[in-house]
Amino acid sequence: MNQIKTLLVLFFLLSVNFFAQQKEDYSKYPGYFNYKEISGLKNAESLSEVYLEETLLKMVAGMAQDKSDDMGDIVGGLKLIQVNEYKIDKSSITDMEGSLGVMDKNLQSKGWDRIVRTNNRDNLTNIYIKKSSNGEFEGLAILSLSKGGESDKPDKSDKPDPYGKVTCVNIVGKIDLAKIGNLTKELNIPGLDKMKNKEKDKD
Amino acid sequence: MFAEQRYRFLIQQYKNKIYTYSLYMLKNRMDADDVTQEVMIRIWQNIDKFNILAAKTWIIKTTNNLCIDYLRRRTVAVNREFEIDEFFEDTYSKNHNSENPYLITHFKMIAPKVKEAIQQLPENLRSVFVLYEIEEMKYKEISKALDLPINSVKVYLLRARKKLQEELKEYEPQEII
Amino acid sequence: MSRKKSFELNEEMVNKIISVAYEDASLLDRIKVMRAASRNNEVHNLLNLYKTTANEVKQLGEEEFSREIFKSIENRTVPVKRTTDKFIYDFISIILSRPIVSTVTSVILIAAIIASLIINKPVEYSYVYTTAEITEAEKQAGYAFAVVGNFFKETHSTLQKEVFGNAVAKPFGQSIRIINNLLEGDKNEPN
Repeated sequence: MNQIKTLLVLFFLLSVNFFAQQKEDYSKYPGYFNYKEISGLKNAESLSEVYLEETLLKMVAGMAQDKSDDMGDIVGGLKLIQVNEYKIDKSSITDMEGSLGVMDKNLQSKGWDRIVRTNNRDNLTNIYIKKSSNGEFEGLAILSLSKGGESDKPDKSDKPDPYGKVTCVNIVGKIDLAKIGNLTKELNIPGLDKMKNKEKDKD
Repeated sequence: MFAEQRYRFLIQQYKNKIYTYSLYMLKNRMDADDVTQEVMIRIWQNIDKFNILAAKTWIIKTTNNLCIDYLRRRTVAVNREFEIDEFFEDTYSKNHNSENPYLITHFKMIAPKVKEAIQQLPENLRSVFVLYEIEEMKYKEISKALDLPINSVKVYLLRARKKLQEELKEYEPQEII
Repeated sequence: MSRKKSFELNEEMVNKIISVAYEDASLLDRIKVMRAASRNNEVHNLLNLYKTTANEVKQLGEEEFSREIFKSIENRTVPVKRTTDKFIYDFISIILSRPIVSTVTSVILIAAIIASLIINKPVEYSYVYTTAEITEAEKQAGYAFAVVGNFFKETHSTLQKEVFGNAVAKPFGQSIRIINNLLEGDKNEPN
């Protein structure tokens, strides 16, 4: 009887496991990048975070279809968008550069192509893309370290920021970079103005 | 439905239990073979009538009843000389858990004596003892199989253990475990 | 460990000792007996004796049944062909043996499927977002794209000014001037 009971319980557990549906695990997508692997971010303070999953992106796409911009088309093919900004001490900037260097090798070893690398006194930025075997974009990753240049304060004081900033971007899914480029010109959203002002000041 | 499968399943599960119990009760291999055969035939004849998950009780009960019948048929005057080595296979190796060669040898020597001592127990004590200690049945199962109250089963078991101890006094090993 | 030499064992204690020796005593009895055994030689010895016998009994196994008996009963029952106790055979036999077992197995399977569906719902239908949440998500998506776009713009700007402008164009311009100077210098020289 005990044997029978054990068999039936085992059978039940196996059935549950067999039929259980897993929650969405984005790590299975090749275009996914886990920025938490960057060792220097463990103690960093999070400034902002964007995390948009496939379900929500589909709804955004549905809502944006009526508009004239390409938002609906771009978003509809995506699985995940994540953007994270972190604040780090200036003393940690050198270590962070090292961490990004390690991550750079890591990503390239995993098949990511580094399409852009800029490294100057104020900024270190690497942009990566992941392509499928038939040449389609499956993922985009950006790792950027701002070493604390111009002040972000509204009064535009010349005091440099006492901290550095790390920005991690990962977009998973079918990416159309051309459409993204067009979209960014038209968008009028918080944060973008600041970026546009920076461009003007540089000029 | 699936009578043959159920029958085979039961035979595989219980053949040794039937034979072991018969052997201890009847002290005789030929009689134990006869009883075992008879029980198997009866299982086949009743395969559709009982619940296979509760078959154990029925099988042991049938075996016990047949053993009692055999014992009653024998004349009181006949005292069969049981030769343990002849009728009992050496089943020691299955259950031993000792690496000590002394203990292994000791157990191999003592096993026939223990079996003999069990066979010396009175019938009612012997049946309970064999079912509990060797067949590893529970009190409730034994109670149902032998139609005894559970308390009687416990009492008989205790008495059997005491009696067995008396029988085995002279065969105590030198080493205290 | 000091032990008392004389100790009267009553029947109750003897029964407990026997139960402990045969390993079917309750925890309380076990503690009592072990405690008594540590304090009393007689109890200790008696326990050992019964333990020895109990061990010897436990070493006895079931007797092996002779397969020849099967041959003698085959004409009155069915041939028992299988000789090995395979797990899968046992398992299937249990499932097929009675309709009730098959029914119970089916019920368990259905219950398992329902339980797993309730516990792990498909992702698409797990949550309905409000309009405000979707609007906010749209803004956030736009922000994300803006960040991406900005990085590309900065790169483009760096490329034009720093790379093409300074690193490439300047030296290139200088090289052209040097060559021009050389060529003009040659022109001025008489042949």
